[in-house]
Amino acid sequence: MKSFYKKYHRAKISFKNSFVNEWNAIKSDKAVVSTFLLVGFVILMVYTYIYSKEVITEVPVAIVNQDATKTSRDYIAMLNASEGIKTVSNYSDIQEAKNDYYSKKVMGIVIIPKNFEKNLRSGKQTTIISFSDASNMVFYKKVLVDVTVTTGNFNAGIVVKKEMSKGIPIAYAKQNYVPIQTISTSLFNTSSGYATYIIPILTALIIQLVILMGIGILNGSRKEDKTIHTNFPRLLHKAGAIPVLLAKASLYSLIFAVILPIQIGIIYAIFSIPIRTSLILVYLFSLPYLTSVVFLGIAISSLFKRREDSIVFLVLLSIPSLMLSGLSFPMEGFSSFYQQLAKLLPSTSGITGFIKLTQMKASFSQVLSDWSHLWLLTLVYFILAVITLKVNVRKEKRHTSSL
Amino acid sequence: MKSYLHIAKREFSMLFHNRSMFIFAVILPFISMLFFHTLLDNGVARDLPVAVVDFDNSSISRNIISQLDATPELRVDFKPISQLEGERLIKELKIYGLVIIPKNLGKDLNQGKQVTITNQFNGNLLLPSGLEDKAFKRAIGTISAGVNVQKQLKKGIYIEQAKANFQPITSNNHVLSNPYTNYSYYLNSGFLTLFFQIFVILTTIYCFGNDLKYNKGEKLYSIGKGNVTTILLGKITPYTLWFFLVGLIMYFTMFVIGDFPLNGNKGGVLFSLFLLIITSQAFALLFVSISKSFREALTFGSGFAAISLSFSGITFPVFGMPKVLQWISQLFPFTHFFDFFLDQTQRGIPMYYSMHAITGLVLLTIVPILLGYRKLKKLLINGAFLQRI
Repeated sequence: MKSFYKKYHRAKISFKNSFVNEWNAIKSDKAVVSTFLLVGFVILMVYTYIYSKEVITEVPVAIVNQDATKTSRDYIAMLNASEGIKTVSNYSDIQEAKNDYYSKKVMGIVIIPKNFEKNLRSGKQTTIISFSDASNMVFYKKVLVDVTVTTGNFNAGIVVKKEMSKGIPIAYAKQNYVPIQTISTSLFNTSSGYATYIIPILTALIIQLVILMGIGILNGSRKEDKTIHTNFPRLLHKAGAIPVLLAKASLYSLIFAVILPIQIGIIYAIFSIPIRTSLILVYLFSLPYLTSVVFLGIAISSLFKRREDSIVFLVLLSIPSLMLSGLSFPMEGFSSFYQQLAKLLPSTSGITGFIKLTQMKASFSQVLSDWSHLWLLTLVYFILAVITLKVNVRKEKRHTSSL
Repeated sequence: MKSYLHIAKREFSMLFHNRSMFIFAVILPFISMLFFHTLLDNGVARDLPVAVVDFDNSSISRNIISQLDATPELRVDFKPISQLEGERLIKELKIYGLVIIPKNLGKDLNQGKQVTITNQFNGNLLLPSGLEDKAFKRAIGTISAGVNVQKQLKKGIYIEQAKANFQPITSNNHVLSNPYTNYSYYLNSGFLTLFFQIFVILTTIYCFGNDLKYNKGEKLYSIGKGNVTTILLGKITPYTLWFFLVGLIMYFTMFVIGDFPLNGNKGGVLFSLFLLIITSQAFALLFVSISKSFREALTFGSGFAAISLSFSGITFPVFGMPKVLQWISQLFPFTHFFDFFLDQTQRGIPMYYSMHAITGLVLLTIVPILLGYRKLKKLLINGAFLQRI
């Protein structure tokens, strides 16, 4: 009993020392503080501002009107009224429109053929030609979707009018024309806004980025100065690494317990990005995310010899982790190798759970699988961190004693 | 000339003998190519899981379900018994959309009444939900048109006329640049060149930082006989050459192995690579000259390179950004490079129309060097950064 108490007491002191030590290291290291502030707030702010308009409207499209009749002008007016595109219609021939497409004044071209009105009146089919540029998917979708939808509506108008001229009531004519109607509703992000989509993902990704960078810089400089064993003297004792690691994990969790509400409270409020959960649930969910990232950070920082190395690697890691999270390009499109690799990154479950909670109004039981996966990762990386820390300290000690 | 060769030789040996250098300039560029090419190997998302709630359970509704399943984009994975259960599946991210077929659909259709099929998709996942909704609308639209045409046929109208009656105007949609809307062509054009840019910037910063962090700047200054231009050229040109080679291999993986569209001027595509390298190096020099420490220079460099992606308009067009950011985006060389690159690979437009981008890149090479030159000279004379960390 006594020996247990002694162990507990030692662990407690070691925990306290490590906590204070790490906090002082963070406080006195300008690089770490600026990483937290810059990446945590400034970068997030800039990104949100970039995407703050949410949707693209009024994409300029060239119209080559070879028909020049009232019906064709009606069609153009209808096209212009659609939200996504703006028609530019003073082109006499295709070459002229092409030149403006080359100089990026217009993002697409629509050609209304000769005899457009005449054919329509005589009941013949006529064809609108559209060109959209898929080198940018956003423009391509706007042009293609708006032209298709407008043509569909214009068609319906013609057919319904024809039916009505036969004496059929409008309601019946409409029903007849579209036997099966479709209604599409977007849940959650109703206007398909880009900021609403990407910013919650980035918030969760930035947690991983900032912690990994912070830990990488700190451990890198400790390695350069060979001070891991003097900073954390009890590392080599039996079970000595546990209080050290727990201290670090709780310190970073506490830091993020402050950062997260500020991010969400200020940036989300300014740019009106919805939050559909309570802070308590966000904290509860973030806990294993933070701990797993902290331990992962300790484990990989042992690979770096110098403090600047970590910055670079981690910046490189951010786009792949975003892709692998499966929220930008669907996970089904990846090979099973990458699907498995994605599971090793805390960000995959971390981002997914964060989005489910804050954007999809999921209950905690619906993020339970992500949550438990993060605890599993915490355990795995904890063990890895213990091993790498001990190896490093041994190396350091051997090195200093040989001097 | 002699001192130039001396420095250049020294740099070449550093490329293969310095560990960090070797990793950034030799290993990681190839890993990044391998990663992005294999990650987006499929290019087009297929078989996205959806759920259908079938309240009708008739042969017609079952036909609709199998038509949805038959689209390349969709795969009907779940048939929940209630809408609530379906919405739960959406929240668990197991499906991208939920299609609801109402009760009496078959009966109503046979009676000539209008019916409504609803699709609820997850707007938080822009790309897959967009594909899902498009596929849904197209599949149901086709079925609906089929019903309409069938009705007309029963009245004895000839099929061609029935089609024309249903659709007086058809549209012939041409998709330029990337006709298969392959996401690998779209995203990897950005990712690969962006990572290439990051490596150029970082390697350049490393090659100066290594000397300046360990107080070797003075030595360099004496080898170069005090001529800063010689030192800069000696240090930088070996990497310009090296990265041009790496860039050629990157192009090989894109256009030969990956079969990316290459519709434009091939010389222009090579020229864009060269301009990207030298403008990135110019910016790296600027970052070295304004930083107090090696670490700071690296932070500037990697931050600048990473944020270039968003400013280039690949994810969200520059056109849709606030005005101020539209101006700022012009300060990023990657924005101009990406324009130039897309012009000459996918869009395939005459070189004349890329002059704007070329001018931008050339200016963004000269200006950073002019801005950083004097400070850089001072730094080399001092021999080290102001701060070690």
